[in-house]
Amino acid sequence: MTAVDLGPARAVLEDMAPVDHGLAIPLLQNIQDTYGYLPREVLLDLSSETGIPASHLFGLATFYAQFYLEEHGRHTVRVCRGTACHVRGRKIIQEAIDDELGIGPGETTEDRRFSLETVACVGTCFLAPVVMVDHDYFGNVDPKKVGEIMSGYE
Amino acid sequence: MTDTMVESGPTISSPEDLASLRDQLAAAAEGRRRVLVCSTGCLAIGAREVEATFRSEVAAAGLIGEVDVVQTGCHGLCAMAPVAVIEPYDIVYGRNRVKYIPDVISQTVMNGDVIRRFCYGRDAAMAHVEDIPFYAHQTKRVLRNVGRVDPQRIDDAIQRGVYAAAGKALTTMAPDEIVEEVKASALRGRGGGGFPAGLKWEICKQNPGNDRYLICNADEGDPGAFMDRALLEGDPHSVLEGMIISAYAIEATKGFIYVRAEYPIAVRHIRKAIDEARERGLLGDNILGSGYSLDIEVREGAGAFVCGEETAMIASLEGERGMARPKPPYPAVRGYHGEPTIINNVETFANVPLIIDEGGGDHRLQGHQDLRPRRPGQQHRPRRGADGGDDPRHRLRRRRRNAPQSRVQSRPDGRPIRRMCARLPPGPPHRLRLAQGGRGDHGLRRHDRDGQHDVHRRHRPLLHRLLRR
Repeated sequence: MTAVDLGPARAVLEDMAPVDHGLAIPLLQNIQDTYGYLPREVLLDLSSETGIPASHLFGLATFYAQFYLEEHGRHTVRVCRGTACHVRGRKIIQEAIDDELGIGPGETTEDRRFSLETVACVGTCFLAPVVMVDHDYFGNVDPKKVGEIMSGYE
Repeated sequence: MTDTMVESGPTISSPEDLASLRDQLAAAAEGRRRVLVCSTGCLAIGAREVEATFRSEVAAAGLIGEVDVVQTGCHGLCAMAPVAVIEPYDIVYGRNRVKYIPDVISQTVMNGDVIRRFCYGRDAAMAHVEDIPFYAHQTKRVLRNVGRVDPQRIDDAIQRGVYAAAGKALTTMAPDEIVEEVKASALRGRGGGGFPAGLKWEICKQNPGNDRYLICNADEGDPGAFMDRALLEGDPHSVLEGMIISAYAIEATKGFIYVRAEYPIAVRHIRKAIDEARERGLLGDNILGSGYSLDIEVREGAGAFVCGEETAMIASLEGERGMARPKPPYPAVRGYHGEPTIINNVETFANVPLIIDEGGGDHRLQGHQDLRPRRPGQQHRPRRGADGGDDPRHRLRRRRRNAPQSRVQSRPDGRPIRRMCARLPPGPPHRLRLAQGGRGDHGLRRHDRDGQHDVHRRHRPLLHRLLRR
């Protein structure tokens, strides 16, 4: 494994100081915003810097679905699998994404451009089926529109 | 306007300051031409381009200063997205397309002439808010400002009367009086559990603790539910106001808003609202000169559905894995860091300013007393579906055909579902087969013969269990 630069992590820590147990989750969120995932070396470093046991940080990282311990795609595609999207064909959308990118839920494209996830409900049921790419919403998604949506992200 | 910038404005240090600022703002806003573009749900379907084009076309026509283009929350008619409301005429346009915007500006915004193709049901007779059955049969209460204010401008909220109830509560009422009013209103928790809010607060206050905490549960994740999202995105200041009053009532020292990370717009709007309120002296030390101080912190969820459960949420706020624990003790007795803690839903808090404004007894009358005495107040809930496209070419379209319309609407609680769904756009007649409630305690169920919509229908856990420690 290549060495990870700890500098940005220290900067986040300094920004948030003082970090105690209660702020462990926001800390991991900021770290993930910085690195795109939670590198093992960084977690170990944070543990020694803050005194929060590494086992606890790893516990949080594996409990919460938002955290990744492995490198992730540059963009995250989230397909809603809530009831409304389900009945209005998210499976078809997911197949279309699989055709387009060749990845299933939890997978990342080889060029690290996209990672695909499914989420419980993004609360935009009136526009189901819904796909999110990073923080952008796409409603009433049609299998034919998938390629067009993906082409907007490099 | 950028999202991060907080406009500076006069600091508000008393309810009188607030009232005079409100009068000033209202006078300035009188009869203004405004284009209110939904910039929340409709974003998924091109509202950003629509709004940007309105802005650039207004500039191109030399109308800056005469016409305001405003980003608002949800107008409710999501099936017609992207939706814009044009003031002062109150004309509702849906299905806005960028290329027609110059026409909309020259004809509708400047002259009030209706363009039929954008109207509800493509019917020019249903151009105005009051003519559309969907709106005419609603009574908007907690949603009253959503779609009418720029959620990222505190001045818009103040002009609509937000924070006035907080001023009244904090300067003229004792904390116990507020609890009594809320009890009198019979407000029940809007998150789905339906526990009487006033009673919960009273229990919290009976328990000794060094500190008390207030948590706003915005981890809305029930399938098909997006009323909390509509409120946080469209009128975050009313939620803050409700939290300030509630925190004062239970004498809390710190508040949290736990929002799910899947709601990035809600997170952004509520953060901005908190920054603005703090800047203006409506949050922080000595709120409105009352001597009461409160700070509110936003925490984002990390993708754990279970964290919507109150004890799991507290664990998450404490920096633990979000694991629920057995109750009792309830959080009102032992919550955040072992101290008495009140957790209420977004919509519950949004009801509190109304109760202070109207008095608990009057608020109670807004519910359907004759149907069930302990279920007053109003509930707003998403109703879902889509345009009845009849194109057999596509599997998706066929699936959509059965659901005639999508919308968020608001009616007093106790309204039969059949009547809420009765007013549909022109088209083939529809029969109501299934109602999916937007709350956890509904589930997917066939609607019963009389179509009664009752959120708190099921038997609730006995209250005395809470009283046992």
